[in-house]
Amino acid sequence: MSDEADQRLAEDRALLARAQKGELAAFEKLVERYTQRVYNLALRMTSSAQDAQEIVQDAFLSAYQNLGAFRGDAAFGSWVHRIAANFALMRLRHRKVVSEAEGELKGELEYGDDGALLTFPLSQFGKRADDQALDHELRQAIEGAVAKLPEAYRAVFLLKDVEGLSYEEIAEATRETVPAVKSRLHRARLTLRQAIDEFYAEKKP
Amino acid sequence: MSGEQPVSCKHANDLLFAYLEGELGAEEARALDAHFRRCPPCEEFLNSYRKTAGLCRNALQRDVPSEVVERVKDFLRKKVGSEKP
Repeated sequence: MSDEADQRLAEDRALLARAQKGELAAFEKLVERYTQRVYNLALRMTSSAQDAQEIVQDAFLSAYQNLGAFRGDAAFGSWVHRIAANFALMRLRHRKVVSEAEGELKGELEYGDDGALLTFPLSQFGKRADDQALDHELRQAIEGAVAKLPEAYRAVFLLKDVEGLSYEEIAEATRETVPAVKSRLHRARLTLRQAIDEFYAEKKP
Repeated sequence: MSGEQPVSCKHANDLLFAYLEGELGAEEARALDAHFRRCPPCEEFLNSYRKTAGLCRNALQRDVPSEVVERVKDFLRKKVGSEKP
């Protein structure tokens, strides 16, 4: 872990210790530190700014009310992300829009009888330098592709590849098994890889 | 294809996730290494798959309006007041 990350964790622990003694101002510092990421997660999961705002509020309130039970064996950031993911998933279930359909999943490969690849990557974006890659249009294409993922797949992708939670943490938040989480992550990545591939292929002169 | 235990494109890509997670045995991982070295489409697929998460992570970064933080703090003050956790 980098020195910067270590220092951040140490600061979080110090703020937590003060918050656990009842100092709301210390907890508010944690709110300032983590609201941006938690809000973005909630916004991507629900596609609603109002829901995202309420989820962040509920998540921090729940974290505050459960500070006594927080043992500090996980990072505060991961913990509050998990709480927010839970609230977002509950909201989606309530909306009855959680879909297990895999209609929006793409990116599976096709093979011949001999197991040789029949679908070739279109654009070779794997060879491009990272710093050339992200322009406004690509950003929009990625946002669109992420928004189209079925909710359960989107949640796993956001929690793992964007927020960096562990498989175990995600399994707990989503009430899935670790193998199911991994399988969903892989399908989500395949779908997003294809969306990026198609974007570059269409853009090519 | 590798010398002793050649693997097909399908086999290699079916194990792609486990390969990247380091979940395969040494022999199987070596067979996949060899396949990716010798099969340009699969190598490109592997590279683009690897790159996908980082591209998406960067694309999804957004600054959040400062009102969002203020609203959370106001909400907490109203809800918990002087209550201790």
